[in-house]
This record gives sequence, C-alpha cells and structure tokens, in this order.
Amino acid sequence: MPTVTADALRRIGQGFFVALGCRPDDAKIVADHLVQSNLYGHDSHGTLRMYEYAQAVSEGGVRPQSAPKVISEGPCTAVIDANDGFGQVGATLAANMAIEKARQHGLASVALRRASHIGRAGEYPAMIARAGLLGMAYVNFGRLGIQVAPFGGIDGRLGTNPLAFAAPRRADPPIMVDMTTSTVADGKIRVATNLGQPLPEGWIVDTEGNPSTDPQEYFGDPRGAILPLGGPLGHKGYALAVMMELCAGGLSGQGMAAGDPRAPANAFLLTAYNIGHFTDMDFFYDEVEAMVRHVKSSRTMPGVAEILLPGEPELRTERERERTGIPIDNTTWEKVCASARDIGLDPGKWELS
Amino acid sequence: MPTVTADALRSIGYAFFETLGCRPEDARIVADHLVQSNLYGHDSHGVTLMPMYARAVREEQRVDPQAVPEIAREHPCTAVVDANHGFGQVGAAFATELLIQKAQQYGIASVSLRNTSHIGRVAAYPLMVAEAGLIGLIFVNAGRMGFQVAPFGGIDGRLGTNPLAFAAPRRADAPFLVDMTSSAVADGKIFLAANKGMPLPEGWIVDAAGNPSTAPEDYFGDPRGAVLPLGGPLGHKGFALSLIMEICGGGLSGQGMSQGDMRVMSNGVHITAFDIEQFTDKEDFYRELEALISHVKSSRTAPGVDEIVVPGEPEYRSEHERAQAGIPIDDTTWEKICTAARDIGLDPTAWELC
Repeated sequence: MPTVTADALRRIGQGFFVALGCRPDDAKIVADHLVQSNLYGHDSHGTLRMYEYAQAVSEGGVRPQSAPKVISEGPCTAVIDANDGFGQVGATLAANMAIEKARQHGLASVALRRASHIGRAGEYPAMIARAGLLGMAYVNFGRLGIQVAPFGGIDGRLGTNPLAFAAPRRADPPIMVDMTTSTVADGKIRVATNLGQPLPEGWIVDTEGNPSTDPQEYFGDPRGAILPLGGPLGHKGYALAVMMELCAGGLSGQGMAAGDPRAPANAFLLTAYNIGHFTDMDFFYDEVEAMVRHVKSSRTMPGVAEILLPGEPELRTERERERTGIPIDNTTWEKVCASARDIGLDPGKWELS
Repeated sequence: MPTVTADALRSIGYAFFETLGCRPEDARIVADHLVQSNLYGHDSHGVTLMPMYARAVREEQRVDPQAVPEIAREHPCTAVVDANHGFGQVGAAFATELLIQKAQQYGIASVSLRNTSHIGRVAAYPLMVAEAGLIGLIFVNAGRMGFQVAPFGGIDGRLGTNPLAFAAPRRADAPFLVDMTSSAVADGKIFLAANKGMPLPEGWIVDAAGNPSTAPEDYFGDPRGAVLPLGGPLGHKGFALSLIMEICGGGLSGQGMSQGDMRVMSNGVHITAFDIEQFTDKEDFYRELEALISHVKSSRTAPGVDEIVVPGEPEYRSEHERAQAGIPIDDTTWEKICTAARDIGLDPTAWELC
C-alpha cells in the first residue's frame, strides 16, 4: 500500500488531468480538490475518483476543455452552466462569485447546472468560510432520483442529496458540515461491498422493502433503496432531501428527481452570507467560541471519548496526513496507474514524496 | 371537550390579545397565527399558548405587547430587525414582509430577527414567502439558552430543539411546506405525552445519567434529561443541523448562540427568500416540482403505510377537515384559556364557539 505525500499527489493529479485534456488551471483545481478529500479522510471522494473521471472523459460524459459560463447574473445572484466540464471547475467559479458578491451585498446565491460530479460538496462552503463568510451548499443529482426512498416508501425516488455548511472561527479552522440527507452516501455502501462487510441496520431496504444489511441488495437488479435520515423520524430526512431537490435542481435549471437517467449531473445552489452585514464579527466569533465550549462541556456517552464538532474529524485527519502522507490502498493505486498508462503517462516515474 | 370554529376562535383571540394590550392589528397577527397552527393540527403551537403568552406579558413582563419592531441594520438585500421584545409573531411577520420586498427587488434577500420572544410555528414565515411566489427558508435557535438537546455522543442538553422550515410555491396547489426540529422531537411533544400519561418512543430522550428512557418525566426532572439529536446512530447529522441553526439563527441575528444562559428567552431567527425567476423560468420550476412529486408518490409503500405524502400534506388535510368540523380543544387546555381570560377581565361564558 503506497503512502504518498499530499504535495506529490497534487503534482501527480495535475499531470494526470492535464494529460486528460484539462487546461493547467483546471487540472490544478480538480487535483487539489481530490487530494484535499484524502487529507480530510474522505477517501471515497479522493484519488480513487481519478480513474472514474478518466473513464467519464473517455465516454464523453465529461468534457475537460469546457469552460463554465455565467448564463444569468444579478447583483447578488448568478446561474452558471458548467457545460459538462469537471464539476470542481464550475463549482469553484460559483464559490468565488458567491464570495465576491456577498462581500459587496451581504449575501449571494449562485446556482450551477450541468456540473458532472462536483466532488465533496463541503469544499465549497469551506472556501467561503476561509474567506470569512458563512457558506451553505445544497446539492441534487438533477432528474436522476433513484437512490433514496421517500419516508414510508421502499423504492428509490430521490438522490442522497448532500447539504454542506461552513462557518469561520476566530483562530481555528472553520466549523464544517458535510452530510447527505439520506442515512448514508452510496459511496459507503460501495466501500462495504469492496470490504465484504455487512451494513449497519437501518441504512437500506432490499427491492421488496425488507430491512437489509447486505450491500449487494442495494446494487441488485431490481435494486434496493437507501432510507432517509432519521429512522422512525425519517420524514425529516425525506423533507430535507426534497428541499435539496427544489433548491439545487430547481433553481439551477438542472431539474428535480424524476427517475430520468439520461443526463446524470450534480446541480448545486451555493449561498454566502457576509456576517458583517448582520452583526459585528467580534460578537459572532465570541458567540461561536462560547457555544463550542458549552457543547463540549457535555458529559459523554459510554465509549465516547469527547464531543467533536462537525469538521473536527476531518481537520485531525488532515493534520495527521500532512505529516505522515496519504495511504492509498493497492486496488485504488493500481487502477490509478492503469488509467494513467492509458492516457500515455508513466506512473513508474512518479515521485511519491 | 369543546369544538370551536376557526372564526370563533380567531374572534376570541383578537379580544384576548387586545385586552392584554396589543394594538388591534397585532392582536390579529398573533391570534391568526395560533389558530392557523390549530388548523394545521399543530396544537402544541396553537391557542394552548394563550395562557403562557398572557403570563409572559403580565407576570414575567418579558413581552411588551405595545412594542413596535424596528430595523436595526439595513442594506439593499439584507436587514436585521429588532422586535423590541414584542410578540414574536408581530416581529417575524414584519421581518418577513421586509424580506419579500427585498427579494422581489434583488432576487434574494435575508433578514434576521432578535429580541423577539417566541415566534410560534416557524413554518408560518416561509409560508408567507411562498404565498408571495418565492422560496422561503427559516433557521431558528433559542438565543443563548441551549439546554434541551444533547450534542451527538453527549448526554447533557447543550442546544435548542432548533427548528428549520422551508416553503416553495406550487403551480396550482398549496405550497410545499417543511417544518421540522433538528432534534429527534420538539419538547412540546414530550409535554403532550406527559399530559396524556403516555410513554415516549425509544430514541427520543436520555435521562439525567444518559440512559435511554421512554419516561417523559425523565426529561423534565431535576437534574433534567436531554432530547437526542435527529438521526439516532447517525445523530452527528442532526447535531450538525442544530449547529447550523445556532450559527445562522443566533449568530446572524445578534441574539446569540447556545451557552446555557437562561436570562433572555427569545428566538434568534434568520430567514432567506429566493425569487425563483431570478434563477430559472418559473414554469420550468413548477413543471419539475410536479414531476418530482409524481415520481416520489409512485414509490411502493412500506407495510402499514397507505400512501407517500409530501411535506405539508398532513397539515393541509388537517386544515381542510378542521375548517369544516371545527377545532377540538381538550378540556385542560380550554380551562386554562378561560382562567387566563378571566384573569384579564374577560368573561369566557360570553364567548360564541361557532
């Protein structure tokens, strides 16, 4: 199992995406995004996407040369068409526009459509929070809607539809929320399948609607479905999922869940709030720190070492992997290398540190 | 158990809140809001609150019925409203009207609200936005209190039940409407179970020592238990939602975030409105939304489930029924309302119930 430093992996990624046809700037955006996912410990959204993305390019689903285009714009709104380019490129443009507009007007919302896969949704609110603003992202999968059952239902009718949020702190990295509105992302079911492990109860139902812990049931034909967040209170996860459909799919023009597999792509609504337009930054920071202390002062449940804020596990993994490098399992690495050879690169020459 | 028509209940409410000191138009706002909650079947946020509101005005003097909300900060598409400790519904309705105007002009807008006491059923405000043809989204905390809901992995109440609500217009039907706490449940439901002497479903609360409990009194005990975040074993997600409500509702309003400070009882509120036409063609939006609803409803159902309902449908069905059949009010609640009315010099026996 190779361990690669973040810098080395970024260089490898950049070379890889340039070879796939990206402009150097865009290659850097995509590679940096994937490596950041690995640093945060979200390996399902990291390097392993390289060969998936290469495949998407070769099948024509992603056009690496496409430039995102702003198709409508107001003082504090914009709609961007990513033109089936790499999602990270369009979404990064959306984040930069949202930051700029919100700095000027107090808030801004930018919608993005035809964005293939934007990667880890949490990255874009985090960009906004690193710029000192509040960021909120809503994501759907356009008209696809086949993964998650509505509450009380057994057939997949919605996407896993993530919601992400980030808020700046005075002296610490941002609070970062990145969560699907379903019980789990289907990437986690894929991981369990690869590892041959059963799923926790309550994640999925089989094609007949029976509770199941067998990941094969989800991917079967006919397929099972992921349950909405909340278990017996799943009407809440279901409601959140539909909210994501309306905001991301609706306002972007990509469309909402309809069981239409023809144009699978993320749609995205990113909102930035300029805290200083609403309150004093010092007040805001004081309140965040007071809340963090208050929350962390709770006694813990048996087996829980400490109360962690959203984003803390990611930041800890980042600190560790910055030091020790990013471990990549052999299967993933072999696939990345094979994919690199397919586009004329020689992985034998890659420096890993 | 009296059954009262919505109109009769509104008239009773207008007189009640005017007697408490509200201007007639404010009395209307508060009473209409409470009765609408009853119509929607959310009795915990309905006229049952009248005695509590009267106490907040007269004994606790937390709520000033004469207060007029003011704009404390304003930019073209943002504002912060200070409700000056008036009735929350009055401040929140004022903020929402300002929000709608701004969003219609600039495409999106965001208004925060502080010093607002209790704003009632939070979905009422996004619903106002949706009735104006825009998408509305509200995030609410309980200021600096934060003692009801445990963080994920914790056993002590450190956050509010922190609701969020969302509404979007439909072409021909009543708006799509989401109204939910980020905790497993609102504590009103625990009160209700306690009043009825019923046990709670598993997974709602822990007792003061952190043990799972189904006894409502374990939540209200001293030392008190805690409500769990939404999600059960995946409660990190409910916890994360709750923090978003604290940061947006409490942070952007200036009301403050949870820290166990019980001195000021007020919601912190943050509302955003999106003008759909600023982003996409409204007909496209409506078509997509109807296709989504048909798609979702085409799912087969789990055993014991009659049909897939979309958020808001249970409320509208209850409204339809109660608009015809009247609003049933349990004897305990009714007696408390009558007592509160007599305390302020009204004669409940003169009330017409239909």
